[in-house]
Amino acid sequence: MKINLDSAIPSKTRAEEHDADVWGEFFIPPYFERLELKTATKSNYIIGKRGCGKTMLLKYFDYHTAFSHRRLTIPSEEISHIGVYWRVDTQFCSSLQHRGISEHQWQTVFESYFALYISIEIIRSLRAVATSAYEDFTEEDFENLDLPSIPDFHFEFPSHAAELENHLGKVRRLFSTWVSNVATTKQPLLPSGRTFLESLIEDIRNNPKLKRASFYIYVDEIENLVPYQRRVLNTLLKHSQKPLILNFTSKERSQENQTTGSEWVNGTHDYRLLDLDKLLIEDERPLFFSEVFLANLDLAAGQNESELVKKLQAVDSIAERKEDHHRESILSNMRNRLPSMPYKAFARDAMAMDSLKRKLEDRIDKALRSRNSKLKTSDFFAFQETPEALVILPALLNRSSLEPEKVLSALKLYADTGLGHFSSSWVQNNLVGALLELYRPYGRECPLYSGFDTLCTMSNNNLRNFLIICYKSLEIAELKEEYGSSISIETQSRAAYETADQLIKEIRTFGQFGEQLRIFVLRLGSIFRALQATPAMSEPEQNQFTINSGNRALDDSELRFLSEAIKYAILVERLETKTKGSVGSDIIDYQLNPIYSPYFQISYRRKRKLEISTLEFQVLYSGNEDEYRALARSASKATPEVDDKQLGLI
Amino acid sequence: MIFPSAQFYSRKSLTPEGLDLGDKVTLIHGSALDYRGNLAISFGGTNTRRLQVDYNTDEMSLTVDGKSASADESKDLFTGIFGDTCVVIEATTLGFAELFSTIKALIDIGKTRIEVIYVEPEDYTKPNGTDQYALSELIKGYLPIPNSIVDLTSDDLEAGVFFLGFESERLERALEEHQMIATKDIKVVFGIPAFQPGWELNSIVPHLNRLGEQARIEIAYCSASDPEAAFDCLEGTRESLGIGKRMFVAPIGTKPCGIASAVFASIYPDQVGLLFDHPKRKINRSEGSSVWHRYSIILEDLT
Repeated sequence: MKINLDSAIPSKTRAEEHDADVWGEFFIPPYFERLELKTATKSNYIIGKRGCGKTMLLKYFDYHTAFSHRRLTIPSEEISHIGVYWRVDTQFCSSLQHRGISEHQWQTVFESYFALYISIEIIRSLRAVATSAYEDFTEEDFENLDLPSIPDFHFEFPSHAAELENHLGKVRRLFSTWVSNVATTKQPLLPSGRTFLESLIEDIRNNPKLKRASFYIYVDEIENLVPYQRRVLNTLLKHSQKPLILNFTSKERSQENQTTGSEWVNGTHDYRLLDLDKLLIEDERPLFFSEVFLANLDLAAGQNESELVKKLQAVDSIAERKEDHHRESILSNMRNRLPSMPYKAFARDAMAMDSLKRKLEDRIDKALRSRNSKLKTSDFFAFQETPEALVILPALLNRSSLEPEKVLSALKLYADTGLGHFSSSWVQNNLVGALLELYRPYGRECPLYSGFDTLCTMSNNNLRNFLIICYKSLEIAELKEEYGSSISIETQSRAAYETADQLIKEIRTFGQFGEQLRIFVLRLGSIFRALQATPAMSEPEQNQFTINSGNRALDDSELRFLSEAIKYAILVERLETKTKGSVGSDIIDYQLNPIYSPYFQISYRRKRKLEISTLEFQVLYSGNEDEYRALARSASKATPEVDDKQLGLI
Repeated sequence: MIFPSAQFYSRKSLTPEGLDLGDKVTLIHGSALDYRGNLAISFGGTNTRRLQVDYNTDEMSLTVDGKSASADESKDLFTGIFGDTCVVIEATTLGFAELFSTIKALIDIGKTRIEVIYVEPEDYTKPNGTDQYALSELIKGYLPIPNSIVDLTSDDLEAGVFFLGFESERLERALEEHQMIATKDIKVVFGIPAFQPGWELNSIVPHLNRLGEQARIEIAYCSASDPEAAFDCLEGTRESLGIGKRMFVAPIGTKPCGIASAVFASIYPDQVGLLFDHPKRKINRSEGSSVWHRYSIILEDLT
């Protein structure tokens, strides 16, 4: 699909691949106005999982972007929100503890380090304002900027802004050297914490041209700081008010709410919690994802001023983007690019492939023999005009509760009238599972993983996941020299598999339990696949589990593992669905993130769940190979004659 | 005294005796986790004095022969305990943090010659039924080592060098968790030639995906078993630094490259910091033993 792409296929799906200045690369999300960050009078705590667009959003609010050289006009009110995005080096900060120094002393050091870093950034932000298109503060104004209270802190601190920046830069170097060698070097004189920052900002606002300046600090990775450091920042947050507001951001809400004193911070009084995953409401997602994808195609083709790009970059176009004609035009564009077919049509195509047809015949034949039936496979294959019914026959014929003769007569009725069990429930319940199982040996290209709506569902409402599948589809289409206006179903399916494969590999990098989480996903996915591979497939499309607390409650390490899995969106928490034969005591269902489903050739749809005990959960995440295989076999009720390979256990 | 440079002399042998280190030795070692580890810590004879060194990642403390202190004070822990013996660092069993703390302490004490031994494995262990190596139990994450701490958000940090091994998740995690690295000049170094022919693919293949995504990263090679080559590789980056600029080294590859990194970070503390992820190494992570190496490091005073 080489339309309008005279340059590279877009590939950036991570915000860190972008520079600090993302002007012209950021697209306004539909919830933008609901954020109200620029007019905030108290702190915000922004949370969002990987791939939700959090870092891009924060870079957009950072001064590098707001006062970008690429921004041709900058409104005068921009000065009342000067954002400083600080992605903390948690590795470095974790050295600010122990080492023969008391925690109380480290608290002072950390608060000073914070003030040192932020004051340098504040001066730099003013330099950026001065050199940008912002009219009310010029380079000359910056050169003349005086900060008279600063020398009061120490006679070596200059009052001239640019000189102070240089001086603080030197202090920071000395500080780094001291941190590395606390036993052998002398601690440099550091700016005191909050009071220094407040004086600095007061001096800045005393300049008539900067009297409206307010600074919003966004500290990222807050959850990975040492507990006392979080307490220091909690204290600063609790006392935040204009013109200096401290905001937090992280993947999940920090559990440390204490301040350095006797107070606590809480989400009602001290900050507003903004969960980006929730702010982007379900209905808005397919449209926004599509807009971002299409606009990135424009950017990759050098069309930086395309109508869509301009619309997505203008805050005042949000309302227009919600109008029906815009929405319909974008979504129909995407459905044309990423076409699919109804499930029945997939069944028809499968029956048109000799290899799949033979495989189906073999399975029906085997099922009839195991049931000691006198019927022949050809009796069923007489009804070729109902491929969706033929495809599910192996599962039905393997169920001891169904007599093969009854299945055959139901098939006849269905073929003749379109009525009966096949019409009322069998096809609906079993077709997707049966098709997935039929295509399993061709797992890398199972056509069910195609179509815009399916790819949205599989992306689990995660922008990055959606973009990865789309970009991979483009790459594969180019390799296969597919130059049509739409991407073939095979190409999309292949891209879905490769995305799953890549994202499963990536799990290893998810914190210190990364490798354990990866193995957990492989095991869980394999069990769902084994459930699908059992001949009777009595519970099609299982891809969720729930932990019943039959034997014992989950212990601390298990809860921690589970929360890591949720933090990294390996598992998706859901409210309870149908619970077969249960009294409904289970509360939470955990769905394996559907983005991984093509790797296991299991369903991406949220349908049925598997109930496991706490002990079985323990085996899944920390049991040895033998224990896991035994669990997989018992969960899928595999009989001894079905071997591990047939079950697809890996 | 300032030691602006180091020279490496290597010798290898199929037996420990072939290393020719005599028997009046103080052997500094870690915990043995596999066959070659047990072999390595039994180096020497009945006259050999043995000192176990352990680093505690959470506390950043070092324990030498049962005595503990902050790793900032490694020098004090080693001062005056060697007598007139030849000090030999057994690098097979020492983790990187112990190796660095020891080498730095010896240099600070004033040693101008450091002997290091290392035993190559015959093979690394793959769990039954898988094609992946299982070298680490749990990888703690990138955490600082006193005396060589680096602030990755510093404007002065210009470049970084990763020595790579079999476990690609270690590089990936650094890039994922410390995204500010993405803007630095990064060089990744594969150990080629590897310990054994064919092993180079075990390190290159798993890294291909991520390296393909990050066009800015420079790729380099140096022998997996030659600290001198690794040291030269680091010197190349250091010489390219601007005035007042710094670099970091992430020794997540072979131990000989770790030895070079430890020496390098020790002699250039103003320019170099370490980035390390402290894996808890698996018991029986390797099988058998192969070549014994002796690396003699001579620190030269060129001032």
